[in-house]
Amino acid sequence: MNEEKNRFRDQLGDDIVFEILTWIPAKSLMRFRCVCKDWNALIRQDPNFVIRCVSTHISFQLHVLHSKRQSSLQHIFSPRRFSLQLAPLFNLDGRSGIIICSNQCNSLFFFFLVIHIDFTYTMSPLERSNLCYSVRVNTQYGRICFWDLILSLLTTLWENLVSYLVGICTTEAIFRITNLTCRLNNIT
Amino acid sequence: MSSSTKFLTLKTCDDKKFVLDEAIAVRSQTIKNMVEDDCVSNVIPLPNVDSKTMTKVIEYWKKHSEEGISKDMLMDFDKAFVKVHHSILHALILAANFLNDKEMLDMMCQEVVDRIKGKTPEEIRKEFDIKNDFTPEEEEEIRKENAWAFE
Repeated sequence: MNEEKNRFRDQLGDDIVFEILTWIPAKSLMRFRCVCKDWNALIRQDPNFVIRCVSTHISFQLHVLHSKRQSSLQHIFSPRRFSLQLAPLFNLDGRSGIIICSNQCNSLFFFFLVIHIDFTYTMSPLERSNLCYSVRVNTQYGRICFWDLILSLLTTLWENLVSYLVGICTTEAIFRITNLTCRLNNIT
Repeated sequence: MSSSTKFLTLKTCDDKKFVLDEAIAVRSQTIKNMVEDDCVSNVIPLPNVDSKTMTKVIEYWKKHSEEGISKDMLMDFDKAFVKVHHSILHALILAANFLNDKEMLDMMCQEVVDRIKGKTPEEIRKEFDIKNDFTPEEEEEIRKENAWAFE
């Protein structure tokens, strides 16, 4: 079995395979975990790989896209400024969810957090922590490569996020995170 | 122009020699470092690159060094340039990596990415001759975890 030729890897070498895979959009990457054990280990477990994807690519900005109407979700799925490949929304108790997607042309990874919440509800410290908890629970729904990472990002991000929401919205709203500077120290 | 054009001789692994304007050859960071460190004698050996691949690389370098060439023309050239069999593409990637030409390497890697990103695991294995070393159960488990990626 070990004699089997892995031509792709033989020809290109580990470094270049690594390089190429960091460029692959998230959705394809998740599919490619099935290719062979090597690829699965690289994509799923190799911390250097995950950090590389993240450290070179992640940046977010938070935008309030729309408020109130559910149909405004459509606008998230057809963003004007980025060409995005979207993973499905992981829905949690109808209030919040996370979308992971990546830029098709250069595999930028974007994590979209979609929240519709009542503003006053969010304001109470109790509910705020509850929402943090929601995000954690949410992660059980889809076990995918970058969950732990997203989780740590979201948890560290939460303070900023909430204070931003406080500044902007007064009612139900949908937000998009598109630009967050990722601090590597926070990623374990 | 005070200095006249300087030429370098590059020798590939199959002993073919290429004489090239230094200004063009230094698109390779590897060659540039050698020139700057003054460790270039007469011939620069390129032990990891064969002549067929080097011909393509030089074609790329020359086109990208042409004066007054428009962006559109370069884009068309690049598009045509990467439309090669994957064994050639891989050889070019290795060459660009060895020669340390980041621009070229990025373009080549992007082409590989474009070729494989829409494929299924089966197609990837077939294309690159990768052995599936999962048991059916293991593979099923991963597919289940990532069902959304297969939609």
